[in-house]
Amino acid sequence: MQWTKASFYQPQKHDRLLCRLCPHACVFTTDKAVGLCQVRRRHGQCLETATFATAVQNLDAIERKPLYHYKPGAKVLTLAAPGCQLRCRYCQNYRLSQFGRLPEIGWQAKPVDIQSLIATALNQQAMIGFSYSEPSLAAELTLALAQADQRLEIIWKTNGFLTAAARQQLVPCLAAINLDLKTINQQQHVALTGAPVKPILANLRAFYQAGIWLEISTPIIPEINADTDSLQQIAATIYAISPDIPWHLLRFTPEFQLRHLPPTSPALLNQAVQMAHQVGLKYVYVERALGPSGRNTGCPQCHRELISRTIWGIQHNRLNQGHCPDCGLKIPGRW
Amino acid sequence: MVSKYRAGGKTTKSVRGSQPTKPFSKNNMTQYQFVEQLPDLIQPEDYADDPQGYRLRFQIKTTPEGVEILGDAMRPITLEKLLEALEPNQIEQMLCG
Repeated sequence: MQWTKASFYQPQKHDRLLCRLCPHACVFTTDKAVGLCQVRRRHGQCLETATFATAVQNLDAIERKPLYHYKPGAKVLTLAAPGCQLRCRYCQNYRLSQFGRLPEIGWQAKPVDIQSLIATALNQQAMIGFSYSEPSLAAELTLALAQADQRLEIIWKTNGFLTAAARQQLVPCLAAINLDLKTINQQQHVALTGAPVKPILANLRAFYQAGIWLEISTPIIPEINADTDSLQQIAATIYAISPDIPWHLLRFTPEFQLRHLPPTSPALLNQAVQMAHQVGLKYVYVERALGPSGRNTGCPQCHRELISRTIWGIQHNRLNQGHCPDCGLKIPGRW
Repeated sequence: MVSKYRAGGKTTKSVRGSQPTKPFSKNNMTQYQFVEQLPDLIQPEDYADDPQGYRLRFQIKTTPEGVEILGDAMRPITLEKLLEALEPNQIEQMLCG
């Protein structure tokens, strides 16, 4: 692990340092003490981060994040340092995200060279994406990349668990976000992730109001958040921000600490899609379990198909400068 | 969300015992390596055909280094235990997201 000086901290009385990156607000009293995220530590009178590093450097389709209404078919050079502030009990990527909490997980990342990353992204005509683990823990790397080259577009697949102060600094650097909203029930969220949902809801609204292109993902987990009331509450929360926000319903895979639960059935996913449309959401997607119809974009006005997708890519895009070619309706997105 | 893994680089014996409740031998030497892409073996119709998600699919082929096994599953732990029991040095895993 290589440590780099961090931002987002504040000295406190009695020689303490307060981390201001996420709402856990860790207070560091002793040298080399590590935060709840496991990738920020105190060094003297500063904080350091281990997230100027990545375990992967994958060239993904943007549809894989998933982002369906942001530059369909675009390539994303995806980075992921180990670590997460949350400890989601279903995390499929726990070998990366839960670094520091499970003894069998080692540090798998290598330090990044910012100029080399930028050159690779530009050569590939790709955006830079942070995904697989928690992007907001790479806040300093995100800022450094954005400051190094303004041609870069940066996207996040995030849990949205960061402070308002950090969000305000990062918003100008971000082009698009897919935010995970697991539940809006506070007790349920704490039980599932170890963190409160309130800051996530605040950030969801703030990202949208700031003009970042926003899509939302929800894993539908039987016996946890798959009941009609829970899903309706999430749908209504998104609708209250904007019915135009795309909502991705993710099929739960029994993994990590929830291996005893069944996977989400296609029938349940289908019911959730119908419910979301009844609530008023216009763009609801299921990546693979419902077949191509689950991931294609239809016009909410004339109901003709506009964009057809493969599992992780674009097949056909009929949009005419962001409008339905048949009825002329403007389709929300950055096309 | 899907779970795909590939183990290889070692000639392996045949494996039996796929009951999820029966523990496979644990091999602590196996390292998981995150890779960009692995082929799909589970198809969309599998989700409806097997709503409890017990289905596993494998593709086994010989390579100059030995035998390579590609697996795809709706319940990753069964597949992981099976591949770990073959004692490969490395299992490739595709991350979610």
